[in-house]
Amino acid sequence: MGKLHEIAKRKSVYLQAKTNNMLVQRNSIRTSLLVVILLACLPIIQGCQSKSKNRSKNTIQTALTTSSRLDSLYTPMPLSYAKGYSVRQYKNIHLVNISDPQRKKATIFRLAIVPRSLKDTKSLIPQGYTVIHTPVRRLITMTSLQLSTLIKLKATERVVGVTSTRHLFNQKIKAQLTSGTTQHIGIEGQFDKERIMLLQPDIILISPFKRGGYDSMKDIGVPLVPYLGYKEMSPLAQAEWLKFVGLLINKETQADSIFKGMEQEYLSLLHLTKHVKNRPEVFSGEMRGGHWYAVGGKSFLAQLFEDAGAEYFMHDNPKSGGIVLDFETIYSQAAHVPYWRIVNSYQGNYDYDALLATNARYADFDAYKNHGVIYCNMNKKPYYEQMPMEPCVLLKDMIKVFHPELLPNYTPVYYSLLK
Amino acid sequence: MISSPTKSIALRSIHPLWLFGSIFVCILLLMLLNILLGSVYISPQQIWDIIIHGDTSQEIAYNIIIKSRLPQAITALVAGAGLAVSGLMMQTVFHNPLAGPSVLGISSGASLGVAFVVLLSGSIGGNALSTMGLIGEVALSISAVIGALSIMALILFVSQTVRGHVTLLIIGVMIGYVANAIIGVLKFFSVEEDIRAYVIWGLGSFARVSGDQVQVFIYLMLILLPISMLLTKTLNLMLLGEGYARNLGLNIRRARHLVIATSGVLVAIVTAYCGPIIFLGLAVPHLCRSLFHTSDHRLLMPGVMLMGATLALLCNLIARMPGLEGALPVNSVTALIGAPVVASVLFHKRSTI
Repeated sequence: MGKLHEIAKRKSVYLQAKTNNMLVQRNSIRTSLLVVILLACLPIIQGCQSKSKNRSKNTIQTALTTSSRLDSLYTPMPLSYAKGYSVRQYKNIHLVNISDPQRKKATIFRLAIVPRSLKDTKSLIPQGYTVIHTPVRRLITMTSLQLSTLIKLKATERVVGVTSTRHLFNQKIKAQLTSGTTQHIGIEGQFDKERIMLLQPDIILISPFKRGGYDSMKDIGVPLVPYLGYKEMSPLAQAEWLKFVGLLINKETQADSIFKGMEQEYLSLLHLTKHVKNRPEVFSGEMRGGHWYAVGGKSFLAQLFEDAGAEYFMHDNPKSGGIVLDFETIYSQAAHVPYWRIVNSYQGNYDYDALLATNARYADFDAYKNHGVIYCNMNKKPYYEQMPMEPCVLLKDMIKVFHPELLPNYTPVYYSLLK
Repeated sequence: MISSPTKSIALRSIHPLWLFGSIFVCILLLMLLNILLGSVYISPQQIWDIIIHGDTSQEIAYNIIIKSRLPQAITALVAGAGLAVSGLMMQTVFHNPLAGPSVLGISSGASLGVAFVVLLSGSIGGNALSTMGLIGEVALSISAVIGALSIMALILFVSQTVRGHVTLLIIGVMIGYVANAIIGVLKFFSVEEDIRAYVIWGLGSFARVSGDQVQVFIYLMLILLPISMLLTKTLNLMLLGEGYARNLGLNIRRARHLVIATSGVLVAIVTAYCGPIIFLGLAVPHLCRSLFHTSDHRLLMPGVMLMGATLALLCNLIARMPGLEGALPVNSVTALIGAPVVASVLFHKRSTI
């Protein structure tokens, strides 16, 4: 507590110094006006100015040291995989910096996560941080990817608003939607502001790089929390966002232990595939409107394939997001690749005939001819609402396809070879 | 300033046969380039072997040429011709230089059909269509044709009672607005994934059609394009104005129906297979009128057909220039490349008169 007071004191000193500084600056403007008029007094006034400059330098330095001292109070909490956020802690306060993991110079979103019970914390939080009071009791999610963390932490009852429910499988949230405790808030870009205000959420989880429409929501006064788990470039990194959500809803220890369990299992699975000699190649995506939508060689998917003892066909590609190719490019590179991963939603039983019906040229791929299509039907499997927080299941599905001998008794959950 | 009138005289003195000849050479050249160039390099020798000798030993190169580049080039050729002809007919029947294939809301109708399938019934394929075994691009083509033809039927029904073509034109434009409004509502209630699929369709592409679909497309166009050639006399009469045309024994109402129907079906089919490619239909007739210095449809009709094919091939070539990896949507290229060309030709013509 003593240290706390000291900081508060320092902060007030800093504020005072700042006002002084402003006054000094104003004065110096006046003096420079005088300089123009009274040229005769030049040397004296010059002396005056240099003095004031020195003074302002000093005050800036004190301000910086205060701020950096405030910063230095917080000790970083290391994350093992996630690159999209970092956490620093001081007592019960956590500072979280969030940025796009796929970019080097990305905008940083700064959040200060403060327990509701803690009073007078203003002096402890560095400038530019949005304060979020925890535990978050009511929140709105924008995508099922965000929902996956709350499902994993068994905290779906805190979700009061969702956008789309087309691929929703979770029975609890479905029941909440019928009973009205959870409601639709419109689509991304076109939100029902009144409904959001009525729901009184503590925070809104957003995907800031998508369609947007968030500016109008800023007026509501509810903190917007960017969730960038889907931008991470490996399954474990994406799963580590569980800790972030755990922090928000005060389920830190639970999130930590769940993640630790996932990590251990994932690493043991990695050990299985580490020494496989035959690493089959695999490609991904489908043709839409004359273009082939695939992902880069440094993407989540490419990493997953590598972890599963396979190799993404464009592993030399430096991109971490999606890429668009024309037919001949993909065909010339993937014609003889034995495996082909597809995820889409289809009513009924998807098979090779259904695949061929979408494009006759698919028949020329070896993966089609030799039945090497790895398929997940979003219409039948809770892909987006569970997969992000089940990296081991995802990995096991893939290992089962590429190296079935390593997991003889495993039944695939999301992906399996198309029959 | 002195050089431009002489230029125009020089242009005027060019015999139409020469023009046809040079456009034809352009088509051949562009066709060749369309097959030669692509994001994957295939040597001319290989291409020669594949096309002339049917060499299948190099499977990948063979499939790229036969199943990707050739169908794409042919699709562009035929679609360009169809759109241009349709635009010419619309401009004549409505006596309006701004009329084009999209003016009567027919292409909006096609978009509406696709929007219904993609946005309303969920993912690509949709519930109703996928149970019939129709998914992906085929489902989109069929829904586009249904949408376009139903709007066209509506227009034809209206044209029976509405006499003035300006009124009909305005009603057509209104129907287009209504279709777009419905699309807007559908979009509003859809999830991002579906909207994306719809947007991708709307970008237009000649690369979408493959396999048997190309054949069907070509057969359909081979029926429709000659039919429009038969309409040249009717169109020439219409150009004289309704009074003259009636005096010369033309059944105005029937003629109007026939022209709108042919033009509408052309647009519907091209839109179904390639997406809404908006620019060519409006621009090519203007380009040809100023190139051929005539309004005679006996010259214009074949001229527009060839010119449309040429421009479409050129745009297709640019859209998939090596290095771009096919990343440019055809719809943007048609307008980006075509608009300046047409504008400069028209500007030149206007400044010399």
